This record gives sequence, structure tokens and C-alpha cells, in this order.
Amino acid sequence: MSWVQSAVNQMNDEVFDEDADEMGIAQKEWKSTMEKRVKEGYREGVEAGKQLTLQQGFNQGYGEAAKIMFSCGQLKGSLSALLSWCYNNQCDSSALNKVTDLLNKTEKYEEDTIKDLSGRHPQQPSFADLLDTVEDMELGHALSSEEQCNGIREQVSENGAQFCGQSCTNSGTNSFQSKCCRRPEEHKDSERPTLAGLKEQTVALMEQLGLSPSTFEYL
Amino acid sequence: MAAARETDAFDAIVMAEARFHGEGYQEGYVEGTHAGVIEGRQYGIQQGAKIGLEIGSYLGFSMTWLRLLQKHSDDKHSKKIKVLESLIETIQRFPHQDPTYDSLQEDLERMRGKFKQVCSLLHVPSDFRLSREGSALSF
Repeated sequence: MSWVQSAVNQMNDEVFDEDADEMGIAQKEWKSTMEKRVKEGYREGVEAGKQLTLQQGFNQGYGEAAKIMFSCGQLKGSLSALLSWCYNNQCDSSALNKVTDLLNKTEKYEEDTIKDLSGRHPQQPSFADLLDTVEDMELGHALSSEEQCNGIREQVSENGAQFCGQSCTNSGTNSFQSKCCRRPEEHKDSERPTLAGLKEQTVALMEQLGLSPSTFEYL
Repeated sequence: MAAARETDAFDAIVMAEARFHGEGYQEGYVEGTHAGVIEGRQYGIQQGAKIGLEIGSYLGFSMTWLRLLQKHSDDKHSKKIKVLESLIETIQRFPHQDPTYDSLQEDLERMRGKFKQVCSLLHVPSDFRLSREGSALSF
């Protein structure tokens, strides 16, 4: 926090013109007191700031993850139903193997998707940067804390939207799929199945089992 | 006069302390709002993924079984179909993306209960490939 030092020095220059040992001590005391005030303020500020956005961040992450995993769950549940139906109706073992294989792939996809979600952060042309810019324009002090909060909230939702937009561009034919098929690294597309791909395989399997693909139309 | 000057000096010190405190606060506040979003989000993702996956699985399972039973329409299935439809309806009404939903916990319990009922009617063990623990075939 070099700005503190320069601010303190500046004050010292004004206040303590005649240099004396006593003054030196007083200067140090003054400086350490002021540094303490800054640190105190900082800590309180961090707490207050966190209180404001923790719930907001939670809700945002919850909604996003729930939406994506809900779709994954639907496919998984459908395949489970198919598997249990096969058991109850004594399907042949090759059919059973196919369903099991597809279910394994879906579970792998589910794991990968959860990992992707957890590793994902909203992008950061951060609030700090934004506020620094505002402060550079010497408008910072004119902002009441309420105005700042609003600014931050807007920034959050902007980030969210932007993020979502970017993630969706390289996949889906419809919004339902694109939500589920987002991949942060494109080169992984070839190795990792997509939800749409898994759904296609499921529908194909239904046909092989002599079931109408319309059984899965809701997917 | 001297007293007035002392008061001024005192005020100046108090004001300086308040100013430094305030500047620290502002800096911390910005950092805190930022950190709060990240921290809250991480936790939200974990919880949301868990609930979304669970409820989505129930829906996929029920929908598929419903279609399979409807296909082989038979009077003896009517009870199963009724229970399946009721579970599907409950899930579709459930706002699974909203962690602030008032009856989240009650609705969750209701859906879990109905799912168990469905499984028992269909003669399927309820941990059948839906929960992580049951990922091996449990027959």
C-alpha cells in the first residue's frame, strides 16, 4: 500500500518540518497508527463486501449448475429406466450391455461436466479494475456506496450473460443442448461425448430394442 | 486561542484516522464483493449440481417408464401410471433453479418419497443406477 506511505510522508512533510529525534518517533507512531486504521478499514470492508455478494454468487452458481445437471440427470434417469425395464422384461444380454455402456458414458459425462462447472469462474475484467478506472477519472468519491453496489451488481450480471453467451457458441442446435454441451476447451470435443451425442445414441438404441423413438421425444 | 488551535489539531488527527479507515474500507469492500461472488458461486454450483442431477434423474426415469407402460397399455398398469404422472407433475412444478424457493426442502422430500413408491411399484430397487453409490448394478 505504497499510497499510504506517500500520503503519510506528505503529511509528515507538512506537519513536522523541523527534524528532530522526537519528531522521528512521533512520525513513526503516526504512520503505524494510520496503517492500522487502513488495515482495520480494509478488513471491515472485505466483510461488508462479502456479505453483499455471497448469497448472490450462491444463487447464480446454484441456478446455473442445477439447470445443466438437470438435463444430464434426465438422460441418466431415462437410461436407468431403460436398463431396469430391460431387466424386468428379460432383454438379451447384448441389449443390456449397450444400455449399460451408454449409462457409463453418461455418468462419465456427468462427472466431467461437474468438474467443468466447478473450475469455471465468472470472467474478471474485475470489479476492482472497474472501480480503479472510475477512481482514475476522479469520480470515485462522488459515488455513494449504494451507487457502487449497483454498479457491481450490474457488472456481475453482465459477466454472467457474457460467459453464458461464449460457452454456448460452439455447440448446440437448440438452447437446451447448448447449455449442456459447453466445453471450455474446444480440442476436447473430439475426446469427450456431448449430451446431444449421448441422446442420439440413446434414441438409436431405443430403435434397436424395438421401441419407438418417440418414447424419448421429451429429451 | 491556544485551546482553539489544539482542538483544530485534534480534529485533524481524528479526521485523518477516519479518512485512512475509510480508504481502507473502500478497497476492502471492492475486494470483498468480488471474493463473495466467487466463494458463494462455488458453493452454489456444488449444491445446485447435486439437486439438479437428482431431480432430473427422477424426471427422466419417470417419463421413460411412463412411456414404456403406456406403450404396453394394460389395466394393471393404471396404478403405476397414476403414481408416475403425479411424480412427473411435482417435478415439473418444482423450481429446480431457485435455491430461495420456500418449500424447497419439503418438496424435495415429497419427490424422494414418491420416487421410492414408484420404484417399489415397478419392482426396481430405488438405488438402481441413480445414486453414485449404486453405480454398480445392484441386482
